[in-house]
Amino acid sequence: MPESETEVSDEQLMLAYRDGSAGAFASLYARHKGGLFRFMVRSVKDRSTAEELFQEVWMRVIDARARYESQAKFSTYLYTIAHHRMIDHWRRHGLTTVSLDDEYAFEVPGPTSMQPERRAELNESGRRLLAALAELPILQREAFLLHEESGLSVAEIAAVTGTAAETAKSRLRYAVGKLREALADD
Amino acid sequence: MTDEDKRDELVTATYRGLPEEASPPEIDAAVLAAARQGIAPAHRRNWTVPVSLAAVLVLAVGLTVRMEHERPDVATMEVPPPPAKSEPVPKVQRNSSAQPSAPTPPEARPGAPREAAPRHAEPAPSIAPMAPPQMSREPDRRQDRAKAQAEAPKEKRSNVQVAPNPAADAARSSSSNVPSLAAPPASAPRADVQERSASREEQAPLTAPARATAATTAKSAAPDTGLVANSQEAPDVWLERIAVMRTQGRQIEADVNLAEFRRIYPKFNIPAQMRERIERPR
Repeated sequence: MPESETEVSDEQLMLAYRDGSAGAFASLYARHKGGLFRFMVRSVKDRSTAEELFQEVWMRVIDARARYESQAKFSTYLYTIAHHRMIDHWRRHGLTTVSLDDEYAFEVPGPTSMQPERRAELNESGRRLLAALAELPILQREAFLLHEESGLSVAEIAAVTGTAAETAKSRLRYAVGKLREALADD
Repeated sequence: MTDEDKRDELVTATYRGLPEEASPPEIDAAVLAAARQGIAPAHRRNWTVPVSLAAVLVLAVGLTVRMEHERPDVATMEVPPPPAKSEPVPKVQRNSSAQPSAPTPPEARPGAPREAAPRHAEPAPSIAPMAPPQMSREPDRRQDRAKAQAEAPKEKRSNVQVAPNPAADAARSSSSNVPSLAAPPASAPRADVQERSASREEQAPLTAPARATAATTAKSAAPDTGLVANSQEAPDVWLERIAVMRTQGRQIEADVNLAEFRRIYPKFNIPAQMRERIERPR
């Protein structure tokens, strides 16, 4: 990526896209597609569902471009959309009566549909980590993935998930603690 | 750095060491295509809005200008110019316009296109105003009035026959000063258009009941649309209306109508009793 392009912030790219620059969107997409895709594919059981949600999130970004205002980081904006799409997905699959604030109320199967060639590349630690990630309560897992894939701070995770900063911090701490235990079982 | 922090780093490092997962190329292509399509309507809006506004503006200005043309001129209303003495009778002018030997310039004949067609083939009787071609300040207004009347309901128009008959006018101008109307004879009930057109050729000056019938039909077919809107009426009916205007104190309107009447019927002999009623009291 050219240096001049890296200097342009995500927010500037999104504003440029809002004003009609397709190239700005392509740059923005290239920056965030990997993180968002991993966030999706490691949050839901089915890979095709993850791909579908991933595409839907970007479609929302495209549809809402005219209303975009640079009031927050673009990554916060992007993952807020992703969080809402994820909640819609969970509720469509029978989790409508469960409060999302209940840390342990529901657990969904983690990513078991990793691509075979990628799975072969996994070492023992990686396998353990993915298995432990799959067993995390979904809100803890979401907090961990948001932190790792988008680089959001605790405050930004709280903003994305619509919770208090303390709640977000607690979820993240629990998630990391469990993953750490899984890796330390050697 | 505590042991916990070191273990957190281990978690992070292990996670980042996982094999890369990338979105399928077909999804990438679909998203980028949607993004390109998403901005296409915005470009269309960029020029459609100004073009729409410009079109509305042009229409509004056009309507305003047209309304200005249609509005009676106040100065003209108060001081109506007297008709020229040498001004020929409009009916004769119309009649001559149909003759190839003495053509009238097209720009001076507002009703020329209508008259170009054979009279017997007209679908409805003509109620075009009798504007003299020489009056350059009048044609626009008269054309507009003719258009408005052309848009009137057909059932009304089919019962109206108030346009002057060129043949009858010619006969009248050579034999008598009494103006005649082109209405069918009283003995002939309201016939269709062709019958009336044919009967025009043989018309004599009308009897009083026929005049009344013509005036009534003219009144119903040509509603009063302005200060001077009675040029299709029978002369005596028109004079009576002017007299009523005087009695109602509508002096300016009466002046304008009287001037118009004299311009259209310059040779009409107004009875002394009527003249007293229609002229402005001094």
